[in-house]
Amino acid sequence: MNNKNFEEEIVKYLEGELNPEKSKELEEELISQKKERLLRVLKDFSSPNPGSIPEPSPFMEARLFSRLKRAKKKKNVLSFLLTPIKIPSLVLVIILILFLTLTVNLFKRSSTPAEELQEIYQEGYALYDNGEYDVYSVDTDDSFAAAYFDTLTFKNE
Amino acid sequence: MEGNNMVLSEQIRQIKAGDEDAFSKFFETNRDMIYRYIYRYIGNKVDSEDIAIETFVKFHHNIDKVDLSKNIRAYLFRIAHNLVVDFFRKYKYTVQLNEDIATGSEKGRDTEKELIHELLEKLPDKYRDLIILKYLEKYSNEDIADIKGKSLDSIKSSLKRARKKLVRLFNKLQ
Repeated sequence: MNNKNFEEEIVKYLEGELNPEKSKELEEELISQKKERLLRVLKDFSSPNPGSIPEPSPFMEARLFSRLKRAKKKKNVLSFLLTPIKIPSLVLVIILILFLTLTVNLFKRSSTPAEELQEIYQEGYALYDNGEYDVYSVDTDDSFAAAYFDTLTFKNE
Repeated sequence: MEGNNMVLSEQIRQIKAGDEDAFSKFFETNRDMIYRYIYRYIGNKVDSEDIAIETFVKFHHNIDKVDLSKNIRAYLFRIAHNLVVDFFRKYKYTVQLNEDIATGSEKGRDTEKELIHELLEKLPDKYRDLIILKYLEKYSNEDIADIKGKSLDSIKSSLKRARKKLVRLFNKLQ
């Protein structure tokens, strides 16, 4: 059988247009050419029933709905954030938080040296009546502590 | 399939109205068809299930855009097909062989499945789709035209070309 004939026969076989004798002839021809694999594929292709494939998992529906639920949650958060009114509100809240943080820091820095001194005194300095002092423990670094020694002496004088 | 489309249209109306049970029914009706179609391309159960789920998720996300006057099943198949193409692009066309082929016991059936995959892989995308629907999933030409949203004549002539290409590949097989 030449190539052209072979192709024509295969098409007819696929379409179920070959009579039983011709079909058998083609099958035998394929077997003689050691093309059994091809014959099996052809039989599969020309069979009226779809071949079997592994059954899908019974949890597919549960997985689908779980995906949809997650997507819905995500969508809700996004839509909340992207609502036109929400954006300026969020910006305003962020500005307010920044302003409050800065104000608190400034207020902290503006506390008087005496107050800071008191803290240092309680933490690590012993004062005497004559204005002298002893350092018995310093948690802060030396330069920071030293900055207050003069003030301390001055105050007691 | 015309009647099917009417049933589907009704289901879509209900889904659009927020009825989750309707979507569940829609999924049940179309799950196997979409899963099988994807499986024929991918050849492995886990990825096929993932892509099938993704297909329905995408469909649900775009439910408001679904035109009830058009073929709903064609739209669903198109989403599945695009996801399959994305999958292959992502994995650089390394077609994963069927899990059953890798672990199966029936040697004869295994090599046959391998051969089918080999053949499908060599076919151009537009023909592969038709061959899967026609010869593996056994859809009629009318159904394929419906699924692809094309005219029957156009499907017939495309199938003729696809078959020619397939048979040439058969001929080259040793």
